[in-house]
Amino acid sequence: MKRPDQLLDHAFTLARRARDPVPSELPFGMETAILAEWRDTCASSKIDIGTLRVFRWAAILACVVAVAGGAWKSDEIAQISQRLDPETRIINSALIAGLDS
Amino acid sequence: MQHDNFNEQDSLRRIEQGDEIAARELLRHFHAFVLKIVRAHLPRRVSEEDLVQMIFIKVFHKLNQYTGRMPLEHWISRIAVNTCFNALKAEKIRPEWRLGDFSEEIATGIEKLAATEVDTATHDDVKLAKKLVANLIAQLSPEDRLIITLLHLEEKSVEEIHALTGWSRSVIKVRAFRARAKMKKMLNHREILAVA
Repeated sequence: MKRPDQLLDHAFTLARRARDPVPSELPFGMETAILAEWRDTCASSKIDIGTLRVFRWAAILACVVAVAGGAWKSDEIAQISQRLDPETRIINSALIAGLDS
Repeated sequence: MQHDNFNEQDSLRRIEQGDEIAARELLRHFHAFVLKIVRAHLPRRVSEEDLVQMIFIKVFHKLNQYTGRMPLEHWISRIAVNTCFNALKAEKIRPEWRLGDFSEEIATGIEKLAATEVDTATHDDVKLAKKLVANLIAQLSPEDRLIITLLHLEEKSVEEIHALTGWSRSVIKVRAFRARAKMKKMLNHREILAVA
């Protein structure tokens, strides 16, 4: 009679011998299902790349607009400050000095 | 594996370009290989076909991440083992071991099995041993189950298990030792029952 340890090893050795036959062909429909899923993945990854390109160009455009807007604003501010009369300039500078202190 | 004219590098390059024939070739080439892994680790409530399909879908999905640092076969087996392990973990309800859990067939068969030798074992003995091992392994946690299957049924080394699972070598050794002890305990309980 074998001890549990020996019995376990014995069972493992015999169980390793039991091999179910592996079918040579893929089960019906499996190949189609996997390839369909793969095609979908390929298609969605192409869409993803396309979307990324659009987003990249949108980001570049947004940056350009922001820089142009800033440039336009600075000109406008400079023009406004030049348009101010001396009295308003004095009040403005006093206000700014007050805020600074 | 079938299809001896399968060229791995060429196939991968063509698949990357979206060649469906190449994808079909890869699928047919590795099907038997993946099926063997699935059969060794199959959770009770999942059909082997579903699991094989799930593994191949993952393989194709992650194929662009394959760097070629290891053979494609190893890379696929890693995905297969991990998918099986996750399926085992998903089987949340694992019946607790009870003394009477061995079916009568196995319980009487154990005595017969204990008396047989490896050289003289019949086909029935082999079937019985497979059933006994499956019953014992089914009581283990998914981690222990995976290690025992890889170590004792697939005869992988600790190093190979480490490469497949990513678990440390010491964890694998400790888990294997404890899992074996659990299995021996189950067999001991059977003996207690037999004596009683």
